[in-house]
Amino acid sequence: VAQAFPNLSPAELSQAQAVIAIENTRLFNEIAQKSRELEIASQYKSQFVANMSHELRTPLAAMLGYAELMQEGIYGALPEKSLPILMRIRANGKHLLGLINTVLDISKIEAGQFKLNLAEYALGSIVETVMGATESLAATKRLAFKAEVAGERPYGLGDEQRLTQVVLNLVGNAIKFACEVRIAAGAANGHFTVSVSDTGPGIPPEECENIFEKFRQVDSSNTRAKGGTGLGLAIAREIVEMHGGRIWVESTLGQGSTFRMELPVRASAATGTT
Amino acid sequence: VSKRILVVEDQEDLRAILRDFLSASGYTVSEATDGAESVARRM
Repeated sequence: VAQAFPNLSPAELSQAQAVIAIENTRLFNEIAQKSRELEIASQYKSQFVANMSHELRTPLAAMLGYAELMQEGIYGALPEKSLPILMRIRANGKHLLGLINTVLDISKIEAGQFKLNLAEYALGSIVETVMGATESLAATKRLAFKAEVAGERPYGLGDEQRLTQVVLNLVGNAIKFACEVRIAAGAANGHFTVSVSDTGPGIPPEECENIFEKFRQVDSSNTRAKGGTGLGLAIAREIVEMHGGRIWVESTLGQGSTFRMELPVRASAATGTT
Repeated sequence: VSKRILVVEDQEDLRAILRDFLSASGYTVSEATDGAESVARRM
């Protein structure tokens, strides 16, 4: 202030400085207050989306249920041509349910309501479940699909359903972009490791961290062609970190990507809720 | 005599789906929408 106003007396200067200091404090408090308000508004929004997603699931479950019973002939014989259509109705319904579940997960994370159900699980059964769920998709795309579960494996403590969701997401992504997919799982030094390798187009180095952020996809022009919400990996990272583990990707452009995760064999109760 | 199952579910469609599935599988189905009604149906 002294340099800007050389003609001011020392008394006038210190008075001006005091006024500025008071004004700065006022502005600072105002910003702090505004950001508290924004945080609260954002929590209300997340809570609303969580409630809404739950409400969306109920009628969808009814539609899927009726379609399944109809397909099984419980309401009488159907014309042959309608059977594949019922299958399409069910496939689209299940897809929609998957999207709603994704939105529900992300809004729970944002509202701080995402909880783990810790229990004993076997790493091998997670890999088996994922293989079972993706085999037919891999077969339709005629891609090579292999899984190896190595070595002696203790029982883990974690949320089996959520960890299955993570591996399923990684394998689902790999199948979308590659013609060869390999899952490897094992245990070493108190940690489980799972890797999902593909021979896809690869991920540019500057994107390797970004893809774990919400709404981020490597090439958003791909979104229409390949689908996906851009939320899967953000949810995967949250689940893995809540277990006290970490997840990352190693990739070479033009050769493929390997997604790796490392989990403590027994997640501590502090990171999750039983 | 077919076995009896009591379905307790407050959501009408989900109750209907369970009822239709179970009766198609050969069970005799009773329905209730809540705890109090389910106790009454058991009598």
